[in-house]
Amino acid sequence: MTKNNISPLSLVILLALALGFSACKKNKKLADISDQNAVKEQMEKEEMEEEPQVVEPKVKPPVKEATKEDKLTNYFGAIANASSTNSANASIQEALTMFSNSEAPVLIVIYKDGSNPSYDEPTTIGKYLNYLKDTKNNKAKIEEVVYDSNGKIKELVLRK
Amino acid sequence: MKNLKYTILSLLLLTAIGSYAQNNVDPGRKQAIDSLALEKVKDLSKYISIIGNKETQFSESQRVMDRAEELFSPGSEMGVSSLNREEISYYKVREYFERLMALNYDKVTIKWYDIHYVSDLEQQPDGTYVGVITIYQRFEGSSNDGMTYKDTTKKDITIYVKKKETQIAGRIIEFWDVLLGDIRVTETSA
Repeated sequence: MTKNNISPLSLVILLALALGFSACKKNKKLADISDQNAVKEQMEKEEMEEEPQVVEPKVKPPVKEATKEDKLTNYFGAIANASSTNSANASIQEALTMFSNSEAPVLIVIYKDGSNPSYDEPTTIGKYLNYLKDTKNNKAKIEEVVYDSNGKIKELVLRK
Repeated sequence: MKNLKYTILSLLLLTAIGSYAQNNVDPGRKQAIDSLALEKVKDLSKYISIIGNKETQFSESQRVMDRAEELFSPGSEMGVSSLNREEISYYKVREYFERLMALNYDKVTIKWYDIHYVSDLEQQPDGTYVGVITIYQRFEGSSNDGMTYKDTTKKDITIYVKKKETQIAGRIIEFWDVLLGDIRVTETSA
């Protein structure tokens, strides 16, 4: 009868070595590659090989583009709520770039019954923007915008 | 003779109906006109506050005075009272604004409140609507040397509203023209 001469301690060491070898197997290939980018590529490649993924087409959520009317509405708000005269004046200058000129007419509907609107006294965009600055009264909403051939606003209709 | 009588009566009736149809404004439209006139008075209160404010730049004051003056019918006057004297002085609106801007205080605050109709807009034979709006004005002026003056005045503003026409981009636009008339002081208190 042959006596088994492997002690329990030797068994434990062997088992630990086997586990360590298995864990390092994947990293062995990486150790041979010096470049960081190459390491990354290699890892990605292996991951792709191991877990083939189904690539779903990326669909961007619909983002509503701000229209010129929205932009103008924002300017009205910025002017009426400006913290200082200088800030309001800066917004007025920016808003005016949307118009063919500062004399572009502004009609303000005060009442509409069918096709028979009642208007306030017509004004100009230059005066109207300053009115917003002075009175902070930004109740009127955009009803209609008429553009010229250059895409600038040549007439504006508001409604209270 | 009898036919002539009926003809005259018919003509008178038609004239009356025509006149009524031309001048009659439906309640919704009338309410919008009332609100428009009230809003013009509120606009004037903002302008007066800006003109009186010592922190307002000169160029801004001049521009605001122009806008404020446009609210009035030509020749309109503004009443000015004081706790220190009995009489009420009246100035053309532009002169009033100039004097307000030049007041000898370092800080001036003017606030209008309780703005309301005391006499509704009523149509006159010429088609113009006339009414009266009352406001209360709180005035506070102070100087760095400690001098202060405060008062509250009640003022009546005559309002004129008339339908007018103008041409915009080749087309006729009918609009309601609101003009402020004289502003009279009716009460002054501390």
